[in-house]
Amino acid sequence: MSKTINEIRNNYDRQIIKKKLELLIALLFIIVCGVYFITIGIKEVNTVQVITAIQAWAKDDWEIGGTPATNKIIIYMRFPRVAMAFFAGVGLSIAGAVMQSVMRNYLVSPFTLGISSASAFGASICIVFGSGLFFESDLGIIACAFTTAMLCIILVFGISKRVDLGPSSIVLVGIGLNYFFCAMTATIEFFAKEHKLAEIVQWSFGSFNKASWNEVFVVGVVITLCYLILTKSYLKLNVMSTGDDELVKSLGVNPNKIRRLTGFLAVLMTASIISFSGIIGFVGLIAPHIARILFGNDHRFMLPFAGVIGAFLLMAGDAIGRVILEPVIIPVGIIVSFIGVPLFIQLILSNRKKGLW
Amino acid sequence: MRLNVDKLSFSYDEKLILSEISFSLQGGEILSLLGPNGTGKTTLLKCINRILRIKSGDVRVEEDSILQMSLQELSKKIAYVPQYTNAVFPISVVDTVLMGRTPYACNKYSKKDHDIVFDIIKKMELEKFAFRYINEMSGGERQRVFIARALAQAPKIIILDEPTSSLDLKSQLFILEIISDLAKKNNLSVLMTIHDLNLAAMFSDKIIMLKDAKIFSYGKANAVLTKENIRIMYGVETCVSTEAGYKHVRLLKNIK
Repeated sequence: MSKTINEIRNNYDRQIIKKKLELLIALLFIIVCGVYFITIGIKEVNTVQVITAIQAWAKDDWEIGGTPATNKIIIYMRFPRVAMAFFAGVGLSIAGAVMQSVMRNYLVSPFTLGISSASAFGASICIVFGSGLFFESDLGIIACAFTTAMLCIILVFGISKRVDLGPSSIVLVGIGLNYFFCAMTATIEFFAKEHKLAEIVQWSFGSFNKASWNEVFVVGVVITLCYLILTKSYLKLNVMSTGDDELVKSLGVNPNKIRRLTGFLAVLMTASIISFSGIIGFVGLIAPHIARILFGNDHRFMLPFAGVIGAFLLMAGDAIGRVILEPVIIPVGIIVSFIGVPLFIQLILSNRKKGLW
Repeated sequence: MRLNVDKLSFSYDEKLILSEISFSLQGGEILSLLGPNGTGKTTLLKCINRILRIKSGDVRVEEDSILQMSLQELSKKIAYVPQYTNAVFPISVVDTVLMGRTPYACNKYSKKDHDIVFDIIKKMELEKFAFRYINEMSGGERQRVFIARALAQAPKIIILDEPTSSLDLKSQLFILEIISDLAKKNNLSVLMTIHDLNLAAMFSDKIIMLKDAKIFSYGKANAVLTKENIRIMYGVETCVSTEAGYKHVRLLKNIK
């Protein structure tokens, strides 16, 4: 190989190492942010108290530091809330990025396929018509929201398969079902009593107010497993996102198989998150875009960066929501839109000017 | 025999597009498919690459039927360069060419994959574009990148769908010279569709003319490109001469 091609290769290797380092720094940054966001809230605590509380938890001795109440607030209220925001941000962003890639569409997120409206419909049924111990509990709402979300995606893929399982047909069927479930929810809301209606609206705002360690565990396991499976498809996702199905096939990849697998994983992650937290939609659209603009479209790096950006947006949004109108807690979905949209538009404008995107 | 197409037929619903097409191709040969728009040239390419499912007949690559192969196995034998590639989420030239190693890479590109790809980038003179995004390149440059990606698949056969469409004269010659050079040096079999009869005459070892779902004429370029064949195929009057050993077709008028 000539010197020039060697230089190119070295340059390429350096770029890969640089991206790996940036990812490591981003992960460390998100851990530091996580600790900081735990300190924010109506009762202010400092970093030392957070570390003390973790020690107390690990040793199961709540008297360490002499503030057992503070230790318990940190461990049972703040910590799971921030952890839930982290997993929700990672899951929704990666799900959004994957859906955009396999559908080859900038505007797609799992919510485009009707997942949010389907789970809202499920939650509404449970809130309005639920009776008995299970169906009147939070667990009942979670189960109903999750079930209808999964039912929705089965319908989307089932109906699209009758045509060609192509990106356009999946998106169109998803949009159609989105309106269908919206209409069903609106019908339930129309006949619901006032206090039930208020509960539905509250659920649909999306927040981490009820986050507990059990929920974090369930969502964390689902997100981690789905992500690990997705890491096995990095190269195939690259192929899927840069060419049409004909090219994808000629590179030895079955586009429909990848679309079904990754679509299912994306929806599973989304459904597991929003059934616990309510609808937090915007982050799944914006975080992948920011990751694409800043780090390119190679899924080996774009997916983890999208996850980190999404986690930061939700953790920061939730922390701001806790303090901005204290003691009222503003739902995280609203805050994320307020901080995310200007950032998003700024990035698009600056990159469009440079002709990069 | 490198590629053997045997009585291949294809139809969209009831409409027969290709009927009992048979031909063969050796290593190092370039075969051009000619015919007016809508005669099934691209469909034939897609059938051979199993993008479309053939209705009957068989396609064999070195005695192995493509119908028995997995997509991954097939992509190691046949590479396809489509007419248009709409990259919604563009990546760099290096990453695009690396994509050609997908059939060989499990979930990570090996050192060998990188060696092959950087060697091809050098061969295709793409060094100065290596880190450029493909959507920032001209049509000719982009076509070179897509051919490089096809080469990275280390195929026995390359299929190109109108590789020179929308290119300027210099780029057309450049791309076809690269293809011809690759075919000869690497013993690659090349199958392509092309509209320019003069370019087909210059660069093809064999030509197939498709008409009414069937092969109308098949053979060496000089034998197929006759005034009479072109008149029947395209409905135009031409003047066909021989210049520098190649047939030269000059368009005269439409036949009403």
